[in-house]
Amino acid sequence: MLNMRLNRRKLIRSASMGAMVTAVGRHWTRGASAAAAGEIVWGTNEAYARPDMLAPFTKVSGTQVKTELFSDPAEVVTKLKAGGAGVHMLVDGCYHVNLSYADGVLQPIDVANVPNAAKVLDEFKDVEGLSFDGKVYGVPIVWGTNSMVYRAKEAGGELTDIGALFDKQFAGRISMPNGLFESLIVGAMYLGIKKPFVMTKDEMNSVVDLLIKQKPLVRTYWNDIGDLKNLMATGEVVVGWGWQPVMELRKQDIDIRWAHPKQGELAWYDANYLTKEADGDVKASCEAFTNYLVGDTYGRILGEDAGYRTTSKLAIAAMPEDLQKKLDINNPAAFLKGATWFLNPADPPAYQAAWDRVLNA
Amino acid sequence: MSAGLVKNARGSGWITAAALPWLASLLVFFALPLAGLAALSLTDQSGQVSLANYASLADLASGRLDVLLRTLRIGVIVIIASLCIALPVAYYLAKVVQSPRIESLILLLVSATFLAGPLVRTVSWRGILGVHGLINESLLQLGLISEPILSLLYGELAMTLALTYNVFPFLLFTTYLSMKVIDDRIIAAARDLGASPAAAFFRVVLPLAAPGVVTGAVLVFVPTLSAVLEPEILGGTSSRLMATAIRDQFFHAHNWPLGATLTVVLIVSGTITLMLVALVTSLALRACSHYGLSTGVPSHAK
Repeated sequence: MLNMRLNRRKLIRSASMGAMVTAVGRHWTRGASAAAAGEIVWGTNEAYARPDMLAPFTKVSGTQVKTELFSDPAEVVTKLKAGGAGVHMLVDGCYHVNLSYADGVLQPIDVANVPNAAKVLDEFKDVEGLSFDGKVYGVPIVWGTNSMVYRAKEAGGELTDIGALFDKQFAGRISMPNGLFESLIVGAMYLGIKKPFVMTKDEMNSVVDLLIKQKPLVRTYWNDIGDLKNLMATGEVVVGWGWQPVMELRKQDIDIRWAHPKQGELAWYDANYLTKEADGDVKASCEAFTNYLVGDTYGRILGEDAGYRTTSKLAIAAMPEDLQKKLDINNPAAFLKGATWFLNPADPPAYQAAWDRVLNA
Repeated sequence: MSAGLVKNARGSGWITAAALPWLASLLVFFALPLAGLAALSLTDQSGQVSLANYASLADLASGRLDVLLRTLRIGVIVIIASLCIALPVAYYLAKVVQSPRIESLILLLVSATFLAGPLVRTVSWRGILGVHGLINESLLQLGLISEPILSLLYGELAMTLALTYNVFPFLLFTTYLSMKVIDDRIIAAARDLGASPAAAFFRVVLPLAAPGVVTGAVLVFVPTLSAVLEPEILGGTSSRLMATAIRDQFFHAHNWPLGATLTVVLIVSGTITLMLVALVTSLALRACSHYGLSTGVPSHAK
């Protein structure tokens, strides 16, 4: 019985190796051919690492991808700083990666081993947080924008100005976010402040004054995206600053619209980074896996399963037309033109103090 | 010394010994963490000793003092609102209802609301007070209003209603128990001596139930001070309470010393307020026993 099991295991392993060889012509196996590690560990969130998203890579490379799931990359960074976390790759976002880099837990990626990185959307070529000191550290895999959302019927037409969030016409029917200092950033965008994440004291004061003045118009500050979805679905709120998942309400025949305001949207990406714990064969496997993440398969499955937008042109091209339409992914410029990138504030305590002043007022 | 006294003394020694583990756990799990919190509040983020966090409370522009005062004010309002609901219900259950089955059924119904959990109990107010909620829809159907009343939800009113709803059973149960143990013959004697039902309630029942009422007030006040759900889900934009501010310092700003300072200030000011509430309640109940609230006539004048 034991021998039979071993034989079967050998057979499966041989079949996997065979599949890897036959698939060598595909884009995303180019990097995988260098992989030799049997297991790599990926620090990521649950939505990006469902089993069917990872299975194609394992099938071709023979490398198992184990996950260390988190709701905030800081959780894994804390472990990496302490040492011995056993995490080889980390998904981090433009809103946080500066801190991870400063903590010294990341290492550069050899882009020669990630050929699919050249097929990433052009809008991500020069974005902050992917390179440090002239070296490439991250490859963006998922992106999105945060913007104004509104109930079209009650709003009385198309909204294209963030000013709607400060308009007395919608008094008592507006909602703003309570987390990540996002309302401060929206206020700064409305006031035309060029660098909302490094505001001067005067700029910050003007934003705080604006948001305090806005308070009588605001129905409530939403705490998580489910909260905003509920507010929009029940009609408590007509216009708010929101995230992409709100658009799922359209499935319930609620006419929710996504605005492309003239002041721009707040853009974010999540990228894959290698940690300092990845070395030798493990590093090669991690680079192969990173190549897979921006190949033609992962982004398509991610879009189908989780509704997130891939950064990979290869994956977009491999998507059926209805999925492209559902994700509204054919024209990234509509979202990213004039976008403000969601960065980590230069002085988080000052931003928290400012937001406290708004909440306490 | 009699044999009984010796036995009692030995018994008290055993009792003291038996209490030691509990006293030790009190020290380890309550006193030491509180001391640590107090020490942390006296530092800045670099770990240096500093009073800056306490000084920042005096900065009126920060609004922290407003939040503290709002928290204490809401706590007192919730006690008063809970008293208004719990006192008549507790009296009715303890002294009016004759059937133990009905008594148990009503208490079971009140307890059952706890099984739903605070989140569901709090969110359910949205269905009552919202734009398309029960009240607005009813008023619109009756033609009493032409537009929904927005101020019902997301503000101090909704938050206070939910807080009261979530905590008043604590006051109800303690008051009910303390009224239940009052000997009915005492009330009957008061009635025989000419006291009206209201006078008997205020001059006999309420003073005798005072320990339960005061305990219930404490049980209602403490969770109100530490409420996070109600202000976040129903409070709107200007109903922030201290617990939310503390949470944000610990988990969003990662400013643990300031979070510790706010916690210490809340504990100290909450304790003082609680003592004042207990004092006022006791005085009020004592006044009830001397001056029949129902008649307004001092007892010595009769």
